[in-house]
Amino acid sequence: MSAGRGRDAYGCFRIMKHELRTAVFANGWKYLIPAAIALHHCMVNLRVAGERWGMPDYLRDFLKGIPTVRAENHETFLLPGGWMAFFVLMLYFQGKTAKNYTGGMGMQALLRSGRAGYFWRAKWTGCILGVCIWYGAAYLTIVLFCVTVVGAHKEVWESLMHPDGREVMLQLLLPVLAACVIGIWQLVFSMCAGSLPGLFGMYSLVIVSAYFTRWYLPGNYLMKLRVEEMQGGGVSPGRMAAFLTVMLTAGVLAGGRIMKRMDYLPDTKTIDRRR
Amino acid sequence: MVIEIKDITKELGGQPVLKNITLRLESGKVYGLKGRNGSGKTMLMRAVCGLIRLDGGEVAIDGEVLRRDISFPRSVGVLIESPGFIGGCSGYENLRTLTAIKGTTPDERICESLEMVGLDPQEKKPFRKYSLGMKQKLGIAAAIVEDPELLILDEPTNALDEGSVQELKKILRQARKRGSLILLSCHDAEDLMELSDEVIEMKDGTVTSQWSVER
Repeated sequence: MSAGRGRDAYGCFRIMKHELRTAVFANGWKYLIPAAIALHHCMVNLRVAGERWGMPDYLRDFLKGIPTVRAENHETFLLPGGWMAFFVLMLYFQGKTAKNYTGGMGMQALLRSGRAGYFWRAKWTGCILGVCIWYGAAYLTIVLFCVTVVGAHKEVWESLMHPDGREVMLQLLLPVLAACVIGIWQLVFSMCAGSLPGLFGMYSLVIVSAYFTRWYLPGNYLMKLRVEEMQGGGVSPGRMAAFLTVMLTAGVLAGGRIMKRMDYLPDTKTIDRRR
Repeated sequence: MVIEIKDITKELGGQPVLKNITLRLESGKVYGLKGRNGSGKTMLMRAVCGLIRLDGGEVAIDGEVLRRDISFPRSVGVLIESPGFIGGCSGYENLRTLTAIKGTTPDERICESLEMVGLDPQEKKPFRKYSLGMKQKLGIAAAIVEDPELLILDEPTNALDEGSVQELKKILRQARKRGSLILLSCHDAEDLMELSDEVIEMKDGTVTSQWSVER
């Protein structure tokens, strides 16, 4: 590797570090929100299920979502509160820094990054890490709750590695991957249309996904019940993961292309000029 | 450093904001942009920074075309519109975070830059509690902290008291002496004339005139 390339890679690493500090880890208290939602979920279920539930049950039940709404059966479409709050707030915090490079510290960082491509790498890496921490805080809370309140015996840990346990793992990881896809596409839409349209676009996608069970609507993968339904309908977990990976890669590539071609202007500036 | 702006045009939402602008800017000079609000001064500054994609023409810095050969100028300090920083961090911490991206600025230089604009490097007050004037000073400090070859300041005297304006003038003279190319806009015509080597007058996205200031 030439000295120039080495310096470039180091520059890329430093801009990532900056993004993590100013966007992902800034206002760290926000990660208490998913923890609080998870804790609420555990408390409610402890009261209902009592000692019948172990850690896999708590993990499986968290963010399970709703089954497909069948209008022909006159079923009412009601979004589960905890599930909705979890994603609305996650997307809100992602949206707050989605377009931070058009002014203030973000613009200073963009100019110092040297290359728009480096900055985009920092943005999507930060986005994925932010989603992982968001989910991680919730999952960790459930695990700690189970260990301290319900009691996690050796068998519980072993059950997670059992074939059924792997199923639990799959159900935990697919939603995280789907949330990463939605987060990345939120960044992309924010670039094209602005932060607010990007945020509401993703809210709409999540709500539409909750209504229609379709394999191509990534919001479905945020609900474990839907994942099970799709699995029952013949879509293998491998295919689901492959679809989400393709969507994630497409988002990263599209974002990189747009980042190099866009105007780095604040949303208000663009709107003002459109008179 | 030589910046060649060749016949650049830019439209936003169907409205032309820059129209066929051609300029040649050289280091060691201060170029003052004069014009009313909406005349295109800030947009021209954004174009020189590589912050907008041009519809026509190109901006070349030392022969490297922005958005083709390089994304942004290699050494640039910018203050465009209101400065924004991390609200919970002090001025020093904000500058340290910013300079860590390039990793070439020692702590002493950060302190020196803060002192030059009249801020105390030891001040622990977070940015969100700064007055407008202090925020502006920190914005100027962020622009000069890395001794950039290209310094772009959009209305740097906003919210500054008379003493601070004099300090700013001193900073700009030093930067010019060091060989920086400075692009400046200022509402106060007297200050602009005093600081600039050349004045570029703009109206409705075009350069209407350009002249050297006689001293």
